[in-house]
Amino acid sequence: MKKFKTRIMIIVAVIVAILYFTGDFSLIDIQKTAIIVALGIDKKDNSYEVTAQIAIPQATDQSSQNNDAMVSAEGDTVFQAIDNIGIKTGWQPKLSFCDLIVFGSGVNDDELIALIDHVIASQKLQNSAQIAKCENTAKETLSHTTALDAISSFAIQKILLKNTLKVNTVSRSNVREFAIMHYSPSNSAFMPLIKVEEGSLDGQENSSSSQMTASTGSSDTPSKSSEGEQKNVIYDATTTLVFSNGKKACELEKEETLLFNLLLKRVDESYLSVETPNGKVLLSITKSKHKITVDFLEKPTVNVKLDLSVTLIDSEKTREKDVFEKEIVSPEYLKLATEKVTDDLTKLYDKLSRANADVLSAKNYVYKFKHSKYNSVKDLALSNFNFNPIVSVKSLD
Amino acid sequence: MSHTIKNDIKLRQVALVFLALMPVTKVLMLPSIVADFVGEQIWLPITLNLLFDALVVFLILKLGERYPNLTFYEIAEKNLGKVASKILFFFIGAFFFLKSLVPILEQKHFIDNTLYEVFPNFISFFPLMFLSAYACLKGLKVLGRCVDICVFFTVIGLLVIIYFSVSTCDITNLFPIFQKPHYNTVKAMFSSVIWFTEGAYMLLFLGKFNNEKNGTIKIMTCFLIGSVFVVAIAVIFYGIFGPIANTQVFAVSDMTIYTTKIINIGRFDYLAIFMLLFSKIFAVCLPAYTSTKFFEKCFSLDKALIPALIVNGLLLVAIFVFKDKFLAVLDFSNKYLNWYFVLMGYLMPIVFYLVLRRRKSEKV
Repeated sequence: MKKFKTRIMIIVAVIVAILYFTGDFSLIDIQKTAIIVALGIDKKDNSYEVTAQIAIPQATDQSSQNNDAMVSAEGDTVFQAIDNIGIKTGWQPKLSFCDLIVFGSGVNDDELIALIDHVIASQKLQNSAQIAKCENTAKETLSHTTALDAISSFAIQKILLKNTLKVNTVSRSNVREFAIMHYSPSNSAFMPLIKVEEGSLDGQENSSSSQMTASTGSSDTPSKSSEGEQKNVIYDATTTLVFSNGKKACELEKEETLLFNLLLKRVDESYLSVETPNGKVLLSITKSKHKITVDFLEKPTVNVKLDLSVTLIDSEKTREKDVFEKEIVSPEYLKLATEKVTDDLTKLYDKLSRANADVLSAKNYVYKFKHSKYNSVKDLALSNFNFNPIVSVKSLD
Repeated sequence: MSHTIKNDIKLRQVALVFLALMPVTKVLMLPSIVADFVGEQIWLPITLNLLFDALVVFLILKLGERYPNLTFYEIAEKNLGKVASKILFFFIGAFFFLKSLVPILEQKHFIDNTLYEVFPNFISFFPLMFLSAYACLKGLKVLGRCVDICVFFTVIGLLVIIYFSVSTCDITNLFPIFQKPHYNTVKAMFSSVIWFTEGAYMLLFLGKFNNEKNGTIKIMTCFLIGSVFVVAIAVIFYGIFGPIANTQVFAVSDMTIYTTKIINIGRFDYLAIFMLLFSKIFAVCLPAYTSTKFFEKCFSLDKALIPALIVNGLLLVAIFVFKDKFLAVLDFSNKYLNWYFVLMGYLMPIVFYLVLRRRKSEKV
């Protein structure tokens, strides 16, 4: 009896093992998989054109340039277009490595929000993917060659994802952060606008000559989209698009983006140019602290407190003694810097309040910390809030 | 009549059931579902449900103190009579059978959607039911040994998940602390009850372990630690996702991808997720095991073979029928089954304790 039981157990175990091994364990055949590293989404009449930048693994025993392929396909929906990419190429599109999604200029605001909603809910795309809007079409933007990297999306990500504490003239946003801001009580969000400027790092007009050669590895790179441009370009992401209630509200230029970033996060290194009677001086912001609160006095008032610690980096008068004792910045410079920052901050807030874009999260603050007053400000336009900037620029020492 | 001590479980292992197996069933879909009802107050219905569970554990332990060395079956037979106790055992067995359905389907749903590129052949999940059927034939000693191993996987897995996700958490997303209408909290508690009622497992363990000094404190402490893990995961989850938390179906795999620690090299967090999935294998087998034992007592069977085959066979059929209809099962459970879970998982043990305590006092 015991022997019979043992035999039965062995037979059952073998059957179970066979059942378990019926699957292929989802092993990826890398030769048949399109690892999509970036998606460009454009709207064409009533359909979407999706441009996928696909990383191509190189089997080599030497280090080599990154290589990629660009494939475009159309579909009634974005995921249908992605599916059509698979049909066109014979590769199974794999979206879990997609770290960048760029929306072309033709994608309107409603469609953009709907697409972001879809990405959040999808298990195929990561919510940590960076998002950006393009000045041109996404296909054109991704098709360019750039000196920064052989793969254009990697070059864009380098710009967007530089050291977080030092990315001050670029406002980066990923799918999750954008969606959280959009669905928060402030109902406002932002993302960078990618502009394309012609010229390489070698030939850049305003930069000093660079030692780096623009090695694009174009001879190894499989053909990009035939409509794409082949000359070197530089991407500029210093413009920030601000959305309010799901619609584009305003654009922030480079200086405004810098100040905006100072209000959103801690910054350990940034630069502030100040006009003084002795000429322009460049101050390095080595520490920043910010706090945004809302008080209810006669009118709801947005208090923006910004504390900056600065050192003197450069001056038009290069032999100025202060440059050599840079931790001690003269009170005159500090006063001028404070006035400049206060003035810029007020202009920034005016711009945002005219556009009714609460990206500084004033209503969020009220919802979280003064909830009893939230109903009174929920539908109030930002222009009905008073603004109280409290700026302090101090010497690091 | 005293029970056989051949397959007893140790008090330490009973305590570790609540640390090793209880939290892993609550970190997949539960946070997202509760967030849909109550938003920022995600911690409140989860904490309240856990408090109810803790109360049930405590009262059953107190019942055990009043009837030392007697199992729940013996206590019930002694006080309710054979027929009534068998009817009760049937309903408890049915409760645990229904309780096992959602966690198994949830596990399958998670694995199919997260770990596979394309949907796998559903047969590849069947071996779990064979494992469950085999476990149902074994005694509590085997369960105790499994728990001794699982506790390391669970604790390390949860700590790693918390470590990778806490830096991305914005705790202010959980403000204001109290503001929603209370009925939302009650709705959330009721809709999520299928993930709770683990306190009822003490009915299985009662009289099967030697009570030690401070035994109740040890068990309650492990329950508390397990509960803290559950609430911590839910709080961190909502801190990361805020108003979009209800769209993130699988909390534990969605939480960890935003950190810049080590994950940039690769998804090392999946090692922690695999650890939790390993523990969850035993966590999803436990209600089937408990159901088998109660049916065994209900029908006065010497061996658990027939109820084990029936319970696990029905679960196998359920997996086949509902293989891609998990949300429909959840919806059905919310509409028709949750009352039964509240009744059997919370009310029955509490009423049972109160009635027997009064009866024992009257006899004295």
